Amino acid sequence: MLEINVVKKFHSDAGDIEFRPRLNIAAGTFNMLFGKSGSGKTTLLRMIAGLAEPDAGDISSEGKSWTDKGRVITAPQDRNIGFVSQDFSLFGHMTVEENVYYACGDKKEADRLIEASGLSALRKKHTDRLSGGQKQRVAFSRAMARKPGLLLLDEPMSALDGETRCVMRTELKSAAGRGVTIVMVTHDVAEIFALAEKVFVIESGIIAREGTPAEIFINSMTPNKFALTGEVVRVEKNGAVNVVTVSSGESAAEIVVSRFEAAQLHPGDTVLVAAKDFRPVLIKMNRGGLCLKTETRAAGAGIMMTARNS
Amino acid sequence: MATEEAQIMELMPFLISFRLAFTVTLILAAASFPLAWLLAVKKFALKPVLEMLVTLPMVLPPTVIGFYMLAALSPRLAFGGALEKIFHTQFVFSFAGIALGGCIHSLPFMVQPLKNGLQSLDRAQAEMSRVLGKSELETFLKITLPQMKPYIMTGLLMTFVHTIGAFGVVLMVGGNIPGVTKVASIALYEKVETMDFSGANLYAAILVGISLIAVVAAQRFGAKRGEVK
Repeated sequence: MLEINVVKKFHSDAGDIEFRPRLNIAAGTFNMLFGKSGSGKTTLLRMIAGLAEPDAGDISSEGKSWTDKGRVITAPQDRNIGFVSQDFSLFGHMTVEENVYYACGDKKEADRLIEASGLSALRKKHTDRLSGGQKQRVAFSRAMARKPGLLLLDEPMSALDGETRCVMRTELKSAAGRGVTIVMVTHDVAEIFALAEKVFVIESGIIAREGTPAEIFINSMTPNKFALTGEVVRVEKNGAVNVVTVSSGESAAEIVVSRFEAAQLHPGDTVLVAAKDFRPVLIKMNRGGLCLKTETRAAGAGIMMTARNS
Repeated sequence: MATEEAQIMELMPFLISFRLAFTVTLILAAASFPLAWLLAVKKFALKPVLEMLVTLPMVLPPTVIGFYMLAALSPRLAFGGALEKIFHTQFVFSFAGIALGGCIHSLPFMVQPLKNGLQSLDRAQAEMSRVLGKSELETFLKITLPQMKPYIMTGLLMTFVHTIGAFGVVLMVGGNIPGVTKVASIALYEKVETMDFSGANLYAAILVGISLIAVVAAQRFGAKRGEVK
């Protein structure tokens, strides 16, 4: 269990903020920090990593104090964490394999990670010559090289294309499956639905809400008329009905569809959802956003729940 | 035999200049790092004063630096006397004296590039190294120093070549003692004074050659804009 109860004053684009996050993160869970830019998400990650000192408060992990009364007492190198920052912070004077080897100090393990990440062809390349997606893979391999108990990710997918994003999601799910506790900052609701077990929403300097993605983003405050274009993040059978969860920006909706429609839809599909007098229309689109031929009308139950803007 | 001795004496000023440049560059390479770090990273009340003192040798006439050093190093005064007692050597009119003078004279040429290097460091990389379990020392040696390499090379080359050309400070502190403090630039001046223009030409050409090599090396290995990531 990672317990955080700190105070940190800082300046952001939103002005001076007194940030008072108080949260408990269960071991082996996948957690997401969600909030507006400048709300303190990155600051919180840096405090957990020991790279920023809180002004007051404590951070402890499994009963061991990391920060006590605002003072860092467990150095970053003693926390057994992996950290992937937004800009990846790769060592530009080192090659791909040197970056990974630097983290684990074990040639065989470095080779295995490079192989597993599909970086074998790039191993002798200096990291400042890689594309964004390649850098992200090196940063992730390097972070995992230490076999961390806690993995901190600061919007690691913000600069990635759709395909690389899918690969990254799979790798993150696999890390979570191995029992690594993950705390990830994101703005993307689709990512949250695809990966998170628990979401912490940061608003006005505090953890305003916490819960599962559905608890946070979906409620029954359904407007009669709405339309949104989004990404299918989940297709599931919920009892006798099939429910498709669609995320769009900072909103999400759950839509009841027929068995036939459910079979046509997959996570990652782009769809248009529209409702008029509780008669939802769900139109599948291609990844570029152009409408395809299929137009379906959910029968009967219509929209079960829709999102409100968070 | 006499000719050989004369040839050695002709070369001696260059040997002394090189010895002086190597000594000053080595001393400053070690001593300037903490100073550059203070100026680049730390905040303290007397920082502007320290900054001014480090920059001063760049703008002061070398003879002024030499004059004050000559006065300060005099064994009859407290500072010079104490130095002589500690190091058991005479500083005025000796190689030790011109080395000390050279260090003061060339200080900004080493400190400034190092300060620029420290200011341009990507601190996120050092932080990442700490997160990856590395100590501060290992992080400094394997992450910070390689990032600083172009700036260190610039500092070393600029200090070396600046000391090779030192004249005013060396003349004031060391005099013109053949085989001890008579460096190449003073020998060149002496050649002109004695109307030996062919000798002066040769000395000048060699000094130009050394400077050119240093400039080319600085371009090749030194810091370039946007080079350090």
